[in-house]
Amino acid sequence: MYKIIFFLTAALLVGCESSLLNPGTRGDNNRATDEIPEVQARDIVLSIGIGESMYFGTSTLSKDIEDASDFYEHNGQSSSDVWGDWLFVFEPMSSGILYKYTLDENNALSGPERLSFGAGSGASHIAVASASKAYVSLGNTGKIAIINPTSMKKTGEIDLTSYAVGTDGSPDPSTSIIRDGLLYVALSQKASVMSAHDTAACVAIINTTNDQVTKLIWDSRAESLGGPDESNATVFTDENNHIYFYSCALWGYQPGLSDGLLRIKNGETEFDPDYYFSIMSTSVSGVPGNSVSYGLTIRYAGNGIVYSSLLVPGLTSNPPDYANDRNYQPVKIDLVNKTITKIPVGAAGGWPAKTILVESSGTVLFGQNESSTPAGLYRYDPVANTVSSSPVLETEGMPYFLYALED
Amino acid sequence: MSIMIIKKFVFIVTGILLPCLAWGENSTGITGELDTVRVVEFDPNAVAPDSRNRAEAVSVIDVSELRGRSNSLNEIIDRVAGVKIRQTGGLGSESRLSIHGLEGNRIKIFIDGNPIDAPDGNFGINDIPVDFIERIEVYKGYVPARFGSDGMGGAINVVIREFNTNYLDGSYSIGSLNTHRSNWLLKKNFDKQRLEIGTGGFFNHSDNSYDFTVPYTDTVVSRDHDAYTAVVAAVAGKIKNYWFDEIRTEWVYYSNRKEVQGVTQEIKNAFMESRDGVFAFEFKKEMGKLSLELSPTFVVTQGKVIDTAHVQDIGWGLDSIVRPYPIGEVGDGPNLSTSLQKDFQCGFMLEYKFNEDHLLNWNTHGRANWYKNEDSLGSAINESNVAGYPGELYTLVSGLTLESEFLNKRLVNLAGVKAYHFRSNVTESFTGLAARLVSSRSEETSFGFDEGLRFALAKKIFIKAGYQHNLRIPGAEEFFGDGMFIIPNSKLKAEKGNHFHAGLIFDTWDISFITRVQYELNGYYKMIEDMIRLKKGNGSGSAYYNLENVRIKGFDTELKIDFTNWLYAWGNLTLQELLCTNSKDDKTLIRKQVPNIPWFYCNFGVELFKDNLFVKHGAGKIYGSGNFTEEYYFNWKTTTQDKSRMIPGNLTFDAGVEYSLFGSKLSFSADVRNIADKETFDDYHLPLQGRTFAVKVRGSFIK
Repeated sequence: MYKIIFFLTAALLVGCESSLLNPGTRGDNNRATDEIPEVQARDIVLSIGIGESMYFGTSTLSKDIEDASDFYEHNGQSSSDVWGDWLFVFEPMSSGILYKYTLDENNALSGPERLSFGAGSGASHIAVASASKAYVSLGNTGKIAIINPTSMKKTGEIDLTSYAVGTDGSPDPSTSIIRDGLLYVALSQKASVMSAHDTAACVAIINTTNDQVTKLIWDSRAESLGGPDESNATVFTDENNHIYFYSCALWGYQPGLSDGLLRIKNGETEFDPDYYFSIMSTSVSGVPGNSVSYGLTIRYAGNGIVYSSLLVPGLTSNPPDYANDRNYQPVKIDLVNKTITKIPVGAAGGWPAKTILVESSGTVLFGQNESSTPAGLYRYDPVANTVSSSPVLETEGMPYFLYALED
Repeated sequence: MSIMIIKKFVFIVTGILLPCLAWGENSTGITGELDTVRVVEFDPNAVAPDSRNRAEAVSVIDVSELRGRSNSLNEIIDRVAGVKIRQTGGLGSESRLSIHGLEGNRIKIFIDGNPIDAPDGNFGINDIPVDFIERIEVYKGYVPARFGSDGMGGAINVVIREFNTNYLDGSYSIGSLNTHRSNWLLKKNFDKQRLEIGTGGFFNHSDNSYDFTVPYTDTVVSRDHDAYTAVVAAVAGKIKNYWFDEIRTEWVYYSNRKEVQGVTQEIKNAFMESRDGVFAFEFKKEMGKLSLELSPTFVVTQGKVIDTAHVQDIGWGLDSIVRPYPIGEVGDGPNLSTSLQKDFQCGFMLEYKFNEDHLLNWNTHGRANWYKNEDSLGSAINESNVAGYPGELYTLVSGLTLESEFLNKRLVNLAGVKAYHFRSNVTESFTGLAARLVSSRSEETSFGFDEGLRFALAKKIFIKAGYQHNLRIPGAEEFFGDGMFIIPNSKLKAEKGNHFHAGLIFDTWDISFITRVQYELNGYYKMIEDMIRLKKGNGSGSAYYNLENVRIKGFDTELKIDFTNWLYAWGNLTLQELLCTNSKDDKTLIRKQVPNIPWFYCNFGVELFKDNLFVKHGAGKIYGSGNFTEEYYFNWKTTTQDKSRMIPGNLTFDAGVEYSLFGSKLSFSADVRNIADKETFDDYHLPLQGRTFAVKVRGSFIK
């Protein structure tokens, strides 16, 4: 009898052991270990959100699927930016650390190097002036950190707290861009995470030579200017070197707040009084109610055209269903004629709505996760006005940040 | 730390109830619903029911040998095979209990068969002094139908001691980090009046001021704002033979205060406090073969979060933000919230004993929960209601169980059915696109069933197998949200599970030179549908959704050996695999290992005894134990690039000595935990305490 018991015990243990002893490997792809991997040119920097984390890496559009297996893991609410061979990753909601990855000759990432601004600093948005100087917005403290991005050392600080509206000690510096030696920083003037002071759009202009604030400019047509996602994805210049800033009106949290695009023309340091474009107020054919709200990314494609994915209130559950709603519609926005045109593809969920890249050929990559097709990058051809029926690059998880790698 | 963590805390205290005095049945320790469990005849040494006698997968911990020590309840339960308790800090911190891979509020906690509530899934009974406890029953993957409760991962039933005699018990423990734990029990019988009255309570405090390395940095800091204090006072009374055989009542007052400790960022002022009142009654009547129990309970919980600082530190000493108005230190704004929960529960049990071998039990438990939260300061600063809106949750679970014994008690059969019903009324706000309020109502009715068998192959060898289909009704926070970052979701459905288990038990005395050998092996296979998970939106909002189906398979095994009557050793290990089999959120998660769940861990220990040591009726013990937990992923395993988001493996050792006099009426003990003083983690970037010491003295007097 004892032999039978011990045999049964051993059999059960062995049976379990085969599949249990290393469960962490169960999700792995079956890759041959004795093959020498072919070095492929990598075309893009991509981040993918899976569960509680976001993974950053480089990839190629010539492969079928990106599984993020060689990506770097960060907090799920990270943000990023690219400058030259550097990928910067912020974790503004957790560590307050800026990570810098460097592209090697095969466009693979190495690193990271770290620079801590402290948890709670709200460090986000980096504007790089040169290999030895960059500016990081510290939204919670109301300051701009000056860093050397090569050495990843903090070299100085610009205190903007005196520009805060009311008794608020921080003007909430956020989206930033450098043009002609001047740093333009949007001051969101938020009263809390979900409310803004009732004041006009505000940008601080800083001389990058002496790091002094030269002036503040205001425009009452829009409010709470600044990037909605801790990256500089909603500020851009066109071929005329005009700067466009965007306000998402705090994602609709505060009724009555004005959204829109404002412009600072080339050679000027004031908002262009002749230009204002409200996204929320523009009718869009083909979406429920012809009404849209805000976008998370706005990418300039040339000739006054930008691409974005805009929240459609008519496609949004009440309350929002983050798991099932497909309510961000890819659109083409004409900055000159102030029109918005729906791109012939279904709406995406919130995460891939961030993912937009204008390719050098003029085609546009959009993140998509329609329930009937795999999540990934889909290509829009503006000439044929068609979108690929299957992903150009399928992604494991949800695509989020997307940048092109320069040759 | 987010403000969500703060708001969770106020729920925990509803779980710390009924620890004092009352709900035990008699001095033998076979109590309440466990009256239905019969001891098999060829186990003459059994007093309390144990795993050998039960058709369920259950481990029974006899606490009598542990009362003299300074162990906490969490530490004791954590040593059970198949069970893992993950701490987030010191005394009073959140802890998360998992059984066979299912954790949080999938595990139901009972005290003497009465469900207690920790709606956010945090295990809130660690405050209960071990000295109050008769035994702990750990049901693995199985919630007995006779408990009349939902739940799908398993259950812990803490059986409280009670005595038919006059009784006085008290203990005091002091330890590292200014930790104090004391408790008392006093009971007096008035036989002529058929009346028993008693009082009890405890006081727990710790500064929890241990050093740790700040995540992402090499900076070592001291937890200087993590003090915790909890006080309970209770009175209880029982009268006999006034139509009901017994009428009991117990009134409990509970209060705690917990400072908020920052990890990545220094916090100096924020704290939480909670007060609870419990008014419980129990009526019992036996009418021949039929017995009846009715147990209404009313609980009022008030929790407060106070985070009104004008200064917020950046990191640890890097910078600070100073404002002329409150900005708070945690989350994205100040908090001065008060939550009020009113909870009415009523259990009704009928039991019919056909004969010595067959028994039918019908247990129904109804519950109504009303929730309301206010935060005038936070709402004013944010210019919107950040406290959430009132909610209501009604549940009714009814279970019918037939227990039978055959073949001269060699075969035990347990069959049960359950009916579940819940209804939630949730006020939801659509804050993303202009404030709109919508009242939503959700309702669901479903059924579960179970079947378990235990067969004695021989006097020393038992096998068992069982199946249960059960449900877990979503909790209050999952329905109602937290008012700020977690939005309500009235569309939540119950989680559903199909659980299979099979086990082998071997228990023999006098093998060669070894006094006793006990061996147990349990295998399990589970299929869980519609598992609820918090999902973040791409802004600051999150909500709970039914997202994944999960398959779990694994085993736990345990070996206990009494080498002699003075040397005892034990060890157990658990190995399991949790795979996502379907996801409504992300299909690429399919076939991946479910993250943030320990998948391999083991416990081991050795004890030495000596009776009549130094003096007659004096006894001494020396004991040591260890725990190993393999590292596991915080998130879904995706990359091989680095392990920065791993929860590292732990190997820790504890030891202690105990000496008792006068037949254990007076005892002294000294314990050291984490002897190697290693920095350990049970959760991502939440370092636990290093080496700590504690001494305890306990006296008990029975008349």
